[in-house]
Amino acid sequence: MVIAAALLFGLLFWVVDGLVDYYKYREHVRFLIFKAPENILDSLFLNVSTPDLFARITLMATCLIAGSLLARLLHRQMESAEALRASEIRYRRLHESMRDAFVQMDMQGRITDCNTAFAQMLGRSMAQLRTMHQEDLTPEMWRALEARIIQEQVVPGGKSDVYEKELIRDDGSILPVELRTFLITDEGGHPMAMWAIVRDISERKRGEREREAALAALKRSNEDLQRFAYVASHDLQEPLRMVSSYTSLLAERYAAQLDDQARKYIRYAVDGALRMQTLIRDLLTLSRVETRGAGLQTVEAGPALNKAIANLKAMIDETGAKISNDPLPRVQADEAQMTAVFQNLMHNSLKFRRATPPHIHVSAAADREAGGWRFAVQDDGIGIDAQYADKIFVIFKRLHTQAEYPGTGIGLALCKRIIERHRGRIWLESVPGQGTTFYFTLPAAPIGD
Amino acid sequence: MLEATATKPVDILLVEDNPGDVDLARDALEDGKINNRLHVVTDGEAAMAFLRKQAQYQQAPRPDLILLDLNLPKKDGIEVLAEIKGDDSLKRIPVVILTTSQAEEDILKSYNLHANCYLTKPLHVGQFFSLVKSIESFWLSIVVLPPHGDPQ
Repeated sequence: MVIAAALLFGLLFWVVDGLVDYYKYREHVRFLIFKAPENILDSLFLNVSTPDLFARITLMATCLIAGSLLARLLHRQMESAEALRASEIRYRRLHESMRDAFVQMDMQGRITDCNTAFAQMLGRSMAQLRTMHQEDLTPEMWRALEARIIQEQVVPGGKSDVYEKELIRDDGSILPVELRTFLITDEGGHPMAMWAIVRDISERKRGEREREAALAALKRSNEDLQRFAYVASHDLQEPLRMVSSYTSLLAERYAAQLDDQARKYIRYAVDGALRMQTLIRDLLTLSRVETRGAGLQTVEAGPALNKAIANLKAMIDETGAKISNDPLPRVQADEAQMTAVFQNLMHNSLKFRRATPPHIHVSAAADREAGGWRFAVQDDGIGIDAQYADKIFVIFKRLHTQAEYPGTGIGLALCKRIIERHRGRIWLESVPGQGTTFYFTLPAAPIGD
Repeated sequence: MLEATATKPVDILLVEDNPGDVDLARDALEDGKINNRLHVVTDGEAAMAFLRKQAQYQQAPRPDLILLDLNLPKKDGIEVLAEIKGDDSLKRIPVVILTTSQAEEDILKSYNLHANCYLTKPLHVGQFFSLVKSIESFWLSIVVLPPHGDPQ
């Protein structure tokens, strides 16, 4: 390129110079043409004085250099124009291929540009959009908010936080979107235009609505359950009281007319009624694990254990039991429910003891798999046969008669329900005749608490 | 205190729909040391009619103590309590809630409406008798009951 231009200039000069020469030296030329000289060089520079020649060469060189510089300038211009065009093409391609929608508007909100994604999002043509005002696309209720965001964030700060609004599609349907609006300023820093990247969040909104609906349904269901539990237990208690009270009175007031057999019958009736009452109370307690459960918080396991021990004081003293524990960690739990778990497990350990005063030891180890702590309540009681290891967590399932060991069989079902509410696991290991260890996991308290 | 109860019988209004519990209460109160007359109504509306001396209760005496069950047909115990404690001429009469319910909401509601105390009926009949006797002895011989004068 450069060389060609240089040569062109050189040639141009040569021609001009030649013409001038011809004019000046036409006689010589005529002489040259009609009479061939011995020396070409001589003929070329015939009768040209040295200064003249020097000037001529300088001028020629200058033109060559000027030519090449001009050529380079032109080339560079062409190159950058080329580059600009290439970049423009790249940008436009990106613009159009972006999934996210792009829209640009002037400071009054008139749309000046947008990409295919934006047009598709709204089911309109790009041409149509370029004639519209962004207010035409925004439902009434969002306009004040958006105006405030533009005033308070975009104009002073150059960009807004991500905010949500809705857009109106061509068919009139509403599209929930989230967007961020940016400011374009001129060289003087004055607001010139705005642009925004808009994202369709209808999927997310639908998910949120569904989740809210599910939550509401769950809440309603919980409330229903609680109401049912309350009413059921309340209404069931009264007839039971009647049965137990009047059969007892019968036994008392008509003792003279009753033989041993009759008294035994009455005793069974009364016992049955009383047990029924306890069962109803237990069911209520179980149902309250969820409905009355407090939120999970950072709780020290040590004090929760101590509370359980205090609650069992009478039984501990009576059996001469010895309770020991290792240092216990902090967990994420409902404190009252945690105490209930310790209490139920230890109550069982005390109840199902061997002849000698029972020993109970409570410890904890980190359980990385469960993401928390594994507690152990170990006793030296009568133990549990392996085949019943799962059954005993089933509500009301017992392994002994009432005469052997009284109880409703709810303690472990309650523990299981509570631990499951904390997303943990509960299980046991036991050797019949030697003792049992109950294990349960609880989530660790968050770091920094 | 003791001299006052020896002469004039104390009027007790029992608001209870369960005849079994009525008989138990009657038994327990008759057994007691204090001279008392037990009046029984079996629902909330009758209770208010009795207290306001309306309909068939025009000759009804003003009770010195009200034993109130919560679980009543028509108007329930909480509504009756609210009406009694909201009525200037009736609010001084001590109201003892005597019910099967141990629900926290019932306890709270009752005390919020100024019930004088809340008792749950025990399971064993023996304990029930002791309870009624305790009520009798506390409210009728230990406590000084308000005089019957005009409302303030």
